[in-house]
Amino acid sequence: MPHRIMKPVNIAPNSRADILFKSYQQRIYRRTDRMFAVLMVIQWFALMAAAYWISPLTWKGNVSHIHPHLSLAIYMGGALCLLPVFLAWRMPGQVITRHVIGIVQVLFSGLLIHVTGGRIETHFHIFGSLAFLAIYRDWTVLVPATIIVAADHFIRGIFWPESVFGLAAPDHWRWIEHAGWVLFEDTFLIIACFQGVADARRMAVQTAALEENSKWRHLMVESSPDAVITIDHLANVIEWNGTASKLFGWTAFEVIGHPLGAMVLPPRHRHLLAEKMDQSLRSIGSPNSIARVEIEGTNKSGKEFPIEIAVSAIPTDMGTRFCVFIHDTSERRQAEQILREAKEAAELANQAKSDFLANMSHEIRTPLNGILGFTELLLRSADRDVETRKNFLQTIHSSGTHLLKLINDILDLSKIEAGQFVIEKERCSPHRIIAEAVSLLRVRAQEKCL
Amino acid sequence: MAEGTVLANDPPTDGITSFHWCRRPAIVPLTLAMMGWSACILFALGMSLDFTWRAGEAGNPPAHWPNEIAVLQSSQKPLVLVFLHPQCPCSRATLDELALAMAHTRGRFHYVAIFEHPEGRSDEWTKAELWKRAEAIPGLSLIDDDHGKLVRSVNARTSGDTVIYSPEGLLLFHGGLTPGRDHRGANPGRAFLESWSEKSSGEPVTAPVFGCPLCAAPPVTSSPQEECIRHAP
Repeated sequence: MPHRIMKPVNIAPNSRADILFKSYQQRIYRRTDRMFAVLMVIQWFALMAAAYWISPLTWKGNVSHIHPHLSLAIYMGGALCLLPVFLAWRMPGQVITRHVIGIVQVLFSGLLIHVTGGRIETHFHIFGSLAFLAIYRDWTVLVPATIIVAADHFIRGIFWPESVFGLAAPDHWRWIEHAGWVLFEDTFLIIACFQGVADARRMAVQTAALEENSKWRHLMVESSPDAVITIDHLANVIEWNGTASKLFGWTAFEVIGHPLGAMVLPPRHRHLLAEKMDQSLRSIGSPNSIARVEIEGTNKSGKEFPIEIAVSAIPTDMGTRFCVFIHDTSERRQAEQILREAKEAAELANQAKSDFLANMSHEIRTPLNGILGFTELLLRSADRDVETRKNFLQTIHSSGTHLLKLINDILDLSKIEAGQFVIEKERCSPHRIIAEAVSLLRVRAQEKCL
Repeated sequence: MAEGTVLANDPPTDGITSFHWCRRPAIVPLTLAMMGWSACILFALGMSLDFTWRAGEAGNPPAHWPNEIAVLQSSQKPLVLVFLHPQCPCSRATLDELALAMAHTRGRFHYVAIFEHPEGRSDEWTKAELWKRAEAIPGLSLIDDDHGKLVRSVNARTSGDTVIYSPEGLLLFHGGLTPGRDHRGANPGRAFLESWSEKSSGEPVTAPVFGCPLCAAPPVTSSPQEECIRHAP
């Protein structure tokens, strides 16, 4: 049990958790110092009231004077208050302050017991004071207070035993028995102090970790390339990251508390935000809980641009919140357009090539068939006359020549497309080239009435 | 305020090394102030203890009871007379100890509390809180000693002064019933009462008395009547 009670929580020196822990401790010390400063003054007034009620006057025959107990309550009580109140005011949270307070508090107990004539009931003030001192969570504060109580009983046991033990000749260890009861209470108060300190250390470690997580989350959100916006169930903005400001031109101060739709969407699309919120809400927990839509958004100056909105509903203790991710899709759409155009061009080119090949197929096959056909005739008809065989060879030659020219033209075309066509400069007659082209196509043009 | 926030005006977190008043110039006046303060406290404490431990003036009762006292005897028991100043707050402890002694010595003594009634004082002044307290003690007889005749007859000087006479009128005990002013606890008077037997003999036992001076106990240089008249309101 003691091991579990006093299990240490390790904190690295000068770490954030260490700073938080020491800050907690200081706050407790200062707050308790102030509490005791007020308590001292209250005790002083209570002491004066008790002295006035119990023994206001002393008599010498027929003449009365202020009772020494009342004077003691006024002056010694005030003097006792003075130092701890001053220290709590000027040096709150310091070690010396709480130790002085501890000592003065038990002195107040003694004074109160004295003024009330040693009443046993007044002794409860000592035990109550020790419990109050444990609020500091500093077990060392209990030490001087306990020593003073033990020493008081020890000294009274020697010089005035009747005042504390009610006996003229008590046992010599009687003061130990009285001090033992105080130590009995101290034991549990010290355990409570250690537990309190351990709890504070644990809280400091957890708080430091939470702060680190929060800071990391904040950095993540701020460094996101998309706008990350948190809205409530009424679509009012709660959080607004830097990218959202860059995208839409609004600062966080300008948008927080305002409806998101009114700030980032044109009127025709605003209903979509509520639809997506509802869609996400209905599908919480499912793989499709993020509702997306691609629409146009509008920035602060009213310019529209394409965006993609993704809405995710998040149930929290403070009600359902929605995380809205907005991505500027302008670049993507441009890229899509370029790809689309490139695809169309490629398809056109492909179609042109197919048409070309379809046309060329006939042009290539025809002379090739002629060559092969007449060659076969020559092989089959060895007894034909020379004139016929000469005609066949002539036809084969002209077909070959035509085919070669065709292939050369095709290769030249490929070279031109590959950028490897070499142009040779030589003299020529443009008139003759035009005349040859016209004569070549005259017959067909006349046939088509061109 | 969010948990974990370290306030801008939070003090430095190390309560020891950040004790800025520990700088050399400040610690000297602070130490001197604390020493002076401690001296004042100890002085006041000493004054208080002196008041508590200082016994009142011891009376001088006659070894044989005077006639004024003899008439009070109503049985063959020893007579215990406790002389009280009606307004003395310290005598509450005397009455408490008397009640305790009476409880421990049930029926063995005849107890009488004599309240001094000085000249010029009203009955309300005499029969105040202390009288009422004594009335509540069962078996205790109360006497309003008009003009302090009985007080003077045994020469009692201090409130709480207790005189015990045997049934034959011999002085057995003279002293107080408390260990200190307004302090309850073991005392020689109660110890005598609890331990007395008819076979006890010897010199009268004495003990210090703690209480306010009685009006009928003047200073050595003046008569009781002159002192009371001079100081009467």
